[in-house]
Amino acid sequence: MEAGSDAQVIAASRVEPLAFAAVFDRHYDAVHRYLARRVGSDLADDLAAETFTTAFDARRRYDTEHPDARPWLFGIATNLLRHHHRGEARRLRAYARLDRSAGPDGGFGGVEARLDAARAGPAIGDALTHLSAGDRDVLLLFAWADLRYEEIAVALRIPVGTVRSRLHRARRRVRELLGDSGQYLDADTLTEAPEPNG
Amino acid sequence: MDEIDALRTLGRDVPPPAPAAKRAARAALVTHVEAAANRPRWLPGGRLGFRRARAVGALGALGLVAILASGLLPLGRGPDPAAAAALNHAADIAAAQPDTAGDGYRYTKSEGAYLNCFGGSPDHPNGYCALVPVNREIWIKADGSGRIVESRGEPIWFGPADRAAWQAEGSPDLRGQPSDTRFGPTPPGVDPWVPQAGPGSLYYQNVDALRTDLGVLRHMIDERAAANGGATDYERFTIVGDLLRETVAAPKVRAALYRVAAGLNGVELVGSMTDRAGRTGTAVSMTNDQSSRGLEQRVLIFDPQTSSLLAEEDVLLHKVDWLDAEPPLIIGYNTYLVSDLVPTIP
Repeated sequence: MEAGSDAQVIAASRVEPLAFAAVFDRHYDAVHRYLARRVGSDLADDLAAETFTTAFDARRRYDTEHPDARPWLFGIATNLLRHHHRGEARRLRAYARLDRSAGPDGGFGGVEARLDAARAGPAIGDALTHLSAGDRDVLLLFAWADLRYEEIAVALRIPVGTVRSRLHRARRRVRELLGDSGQYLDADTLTEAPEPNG
Repeated sequence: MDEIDALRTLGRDVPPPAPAAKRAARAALVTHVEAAANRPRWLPGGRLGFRRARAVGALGALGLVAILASGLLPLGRGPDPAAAAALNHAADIAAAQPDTAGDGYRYTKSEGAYLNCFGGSPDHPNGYCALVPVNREIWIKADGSGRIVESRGEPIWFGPADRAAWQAEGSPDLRGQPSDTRFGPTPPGVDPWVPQAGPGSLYYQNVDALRTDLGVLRHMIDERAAANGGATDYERFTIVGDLLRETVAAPKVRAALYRVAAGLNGVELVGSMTDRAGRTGTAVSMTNDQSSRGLEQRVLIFDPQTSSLLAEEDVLLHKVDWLDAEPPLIIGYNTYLVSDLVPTIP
C-alpha cells in the first residue's frame, strides 16, 4: 500500500497519532547517521530518539506544503545538538587527531580519497571547531545531511540567502584555516558548491 | 578535491545505528505517543497533576504546584479556541472594571526564582546552575516613577552535581546585596514606550503609551518583539506577560492585552491551576522551540474572576547537559502575592 508523502503521514498522525511511527521508520537511520558524525554513536542514540519524540510533539505545526520531512527532522536534530556542544567539540577534536595513515577504520573510503582525505581530514576536523555554531550547522547540513540550500533554510528557519552567505563564509574560513595548516586542498577559487542531487 | 569533498569523507564510515538502539528508540516513541494520547488535562479539585516538574526537592518543600508540561504544541495554525475563549473572558472582565488608578501607585509584592548559572572551573567545566529566589516589592506610577525593593534567598539546586560544583568553589554567597531603588518619572520628551537606559525611569513597565485599539496595540507589541530579536508569537506572548505584571495598565489596556494574547498562534489552554499561594486560576501556555536553552514553555496563570495576573512559570521541556535534572523542569517562576493601588510609597 502506498504510504504517501511524509506530509501526508504527519497530517494523518494529527488524527491517528500512532501513524507518526512511519516517519521514524523512514528517517531514523539518516538522522542517526548525521548525529553520529557530529557527536558520536552513543550520544546519537539518545539524540536521535529525542528528535522523533520532539518531532511528534511539534507535528501539529508541520507545514504540509513540504512533502519531505527530512529538513524538518534535521532541523530538530540540529537544535538538540546546541545543548550538547561539548560532546560535539570532543568529536571534532577526535577527527582532528586521526592518524594520517588511517586505514579502513579511519573513517575514509577509497584509496585515492583516503590518501587525500588522510592529509586533509584531521585539519578539516580542527577547522570545524573554529566555525561559529550557525556556520557549522549550515556547512554540516550541506555536507553530511545532503540537504539543498532551500532545505537547509527550512531546517534552520532562515532565509535561503542567509544559507548561501553562511555556507560561503564557512567554506572560506575552512580554506583559510587549511591554508594556515599547510593542508590546503587545491587552488580553485571559492565557487558555489554543487547541491546534492543536482 | 575541495573542502566539501574532504568534509564528506570525514566520518563517512560511522556505523549504522545498532538494531537494539533503534528498537529502543522506536519503542520510546510509541510509548510517548500513547502517553500523549491518554494524557488528561486536569484532575478533580482543580489541581493539575501528572508529569509533575521533578528533581528539585526543596521546591517540593515549598508546596509548589504540579505543572502540566503537556509537550503537545497547539493545534494547527490558528489560536487554540479554548485558550482564546479563556483569554477573551479575562478581557471582558478587565474591560468592565473601573479605572481607579488616578495618581496612585500600583503596588505588587511577589516571590519568584530565576535560573542563574555561575562559574566554570577545570574540575567543573560546566559551572553550576541554581534557581535563585527573589522577593520583590514594586511601586510604580503612571509617570514611570516608583520604587523597587529586592532581596534574594539561598539557591535551590537542581541536583547534587550543581551543589557539589558550588561547594568545590568555596560555596560563594549567590544572594548578593538587597537592593532598594527609587525612580523618578520618565523624562519629558522621551517616548515611554521605547525602552530607555539610564536612571530615573521604570521604562519597561511604563504603559502610558499603550493603546486600547487592538490593531494599534498589536503593532506596538510587534515593534517591541522585533526589537527584542524576533517578531514571533512566543515573543508577543512574553511581552503581553511583561505588560500585565506589576503595571498600572488601565483596565481597558489590560483587556486589550488579553485580546492580543487570545489572537496569538500557539497559545494553549492548560486549564484550572493552583499557584504557590494556593489560589486557583486559569492557566494558558505557549511553547518556544527557538530558545537557546531548548524547548521551553511559558505559563501564565490569571484570576478568571478579576483578570489579575496571579503567577508565571517557565518550564524547560528538554534534557540539557548543563542541568543536573530531568525535564520537565521549572527554570523560573513568579507568584504575585499582592497587587493593589496605594496612594504613596513608604
